[in-house]
Amino acid sequence: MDVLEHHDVLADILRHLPPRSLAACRCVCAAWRAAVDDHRLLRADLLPLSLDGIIYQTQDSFITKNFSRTSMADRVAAAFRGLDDNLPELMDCRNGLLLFWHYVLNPATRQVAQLPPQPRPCEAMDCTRCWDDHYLIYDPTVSPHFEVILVPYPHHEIPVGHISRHMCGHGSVVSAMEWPPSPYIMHVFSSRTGSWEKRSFRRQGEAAGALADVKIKLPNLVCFLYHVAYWREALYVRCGAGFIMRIDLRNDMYQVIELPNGKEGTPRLGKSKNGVYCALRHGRCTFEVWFLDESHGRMEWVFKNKVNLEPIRGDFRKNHTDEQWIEKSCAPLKRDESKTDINLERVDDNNQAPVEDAYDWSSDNENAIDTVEWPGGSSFNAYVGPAFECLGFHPYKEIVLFNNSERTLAYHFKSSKVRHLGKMEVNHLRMGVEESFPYAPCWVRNLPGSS
Amino acid sequence: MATREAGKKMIMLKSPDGMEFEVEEAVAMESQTIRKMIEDDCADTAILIPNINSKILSRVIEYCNKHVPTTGATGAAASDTVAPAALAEDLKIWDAEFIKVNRATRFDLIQAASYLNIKGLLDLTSQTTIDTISDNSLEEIRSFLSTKNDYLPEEEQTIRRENQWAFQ
Repeated sequence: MDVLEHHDVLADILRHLPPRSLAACRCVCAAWRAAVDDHRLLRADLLPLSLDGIIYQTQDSFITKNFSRTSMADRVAAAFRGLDDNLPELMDCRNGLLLFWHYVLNPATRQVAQLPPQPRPCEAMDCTRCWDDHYLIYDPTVSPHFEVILVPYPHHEIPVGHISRHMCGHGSVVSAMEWPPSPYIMHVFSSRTGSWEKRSFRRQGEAAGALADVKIKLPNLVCFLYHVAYWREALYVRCGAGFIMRIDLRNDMYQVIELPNGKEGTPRLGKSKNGVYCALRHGRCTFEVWFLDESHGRMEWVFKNKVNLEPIRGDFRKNHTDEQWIEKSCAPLKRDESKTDINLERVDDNNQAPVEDAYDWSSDNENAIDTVEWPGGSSFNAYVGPAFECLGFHPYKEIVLFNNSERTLAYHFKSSKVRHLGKMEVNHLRMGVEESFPYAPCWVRNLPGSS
Repeated sequence: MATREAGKKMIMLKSPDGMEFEVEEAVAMESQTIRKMIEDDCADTAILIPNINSKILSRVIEYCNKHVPTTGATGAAASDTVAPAALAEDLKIWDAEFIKVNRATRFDLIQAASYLNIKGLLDLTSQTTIDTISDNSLEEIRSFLSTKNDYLPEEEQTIRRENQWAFQ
């Protein structure tokens, strides 16, 4: 008898596999599915599959906030209470993990993993201007391990940044160099090794242009570069106005891809149902949604939908949400306050996230507003209401989130419907949202490096 | 057992084909299944190991001999002449040699490790199978592991939809 037909032995082998492989194993044959199901090897209910909130920071303070379903808001806020950090600066969020300067936090399980001191962005002794963008790489359906990647950023003010790292200076030779450089040298932390490692990424295909041109066109605010997408072991990150890089972490190669629609509009990248998407904002309230089609060796943007949100101003159904989403500040607690407020033990008690409790994202919902009849995109110049910004994508459904000072919306770009989520308290008169990340809690309690 | 403190107590393991193997108790107890039998006092005479032939059983014992912790009879650590890191490295090389066997033997070892509940041996022997599953498509998994697809097409679609996230 073949050993793989032996139910218990098969289960013993399969239990070493990550969730994504287990899901495939269930499709191999009936016996394999029984081995997975009978031993409860696949715990999809613990995976970050449901979007339960938005974690963000505003430009007028570094306090992290979360805008979530009521049931989730307290839990996320409680996770920050034990942190030994006055103003944790949020860098990135991926599949339920948050990246801060020196550590990684899973708010659902309240596990924290410290990072060792990171390498300096520039080796020139007196350089304080060079800068790395920090991104988190994590997919618990494939591996419990995470990586942090530092991508050198060509700063607006510096004639020359990290050409090959560590050449901080002025000069026509460097300004004429192509950007992004090849090799593009980045530091990567892996929780597998627990240390930083220098990696060289080589370019396949054309560069975006000369460094001098790329810099001039780059927006002054660093935050425009922050939002990245991570899909199938590749990181999609902006590398200059109108371009993104697809960094393949399997073979340390990267490729430059032009943004859709002749590079017009303010882009926001994100991972959603079928891969990588881009929402392009035109004017104050019109958005196009594009999908990066990588099937059959292609690499091209496919137009999905377009919406002009202007008519939403006249819609007062915003109070008719099924479940109120609320806002909570997530501040580490001062020592003398640590005994009050939220009862952490109580939060721990209901640690297993019930999936049936997940927010119903259906666009068939009675409160969904059909946008098909809405006028197209031409009237945005006349729109005087508060501008909308894109907050990101639902990781598994064709939904993109928009926000302005009056309302937060979920736009179903397949069915052209809009639903109200509520209202985020953002002081738009002073500053808008600086960073925002759709948050899907991950309940798997195996964060490497946490105590 | 009454004589446990005697230190190098020996245990007799019997394979179904009639071979007998005398091993140290500590070595035999690398198997959680045998450990339980010993602790439950069911091991006064020889222990019969069903379904595992002498060829495979001898290899399993070889593995356990190599992997038994180097502790003395009283449980105190043995003299620390070799650095732990070097020891671990040495074991790794030994494991890599040990697992150079054909597919049938590997599957027999998996089955033995599973029945005898020897975690290290199970991890080692099933790694190739795990890699095959992790790195390949559904069709390739079926073909490499000679597993027959007994689903109707629509059944397979339904099961796939239950975990749609894994196929995106």
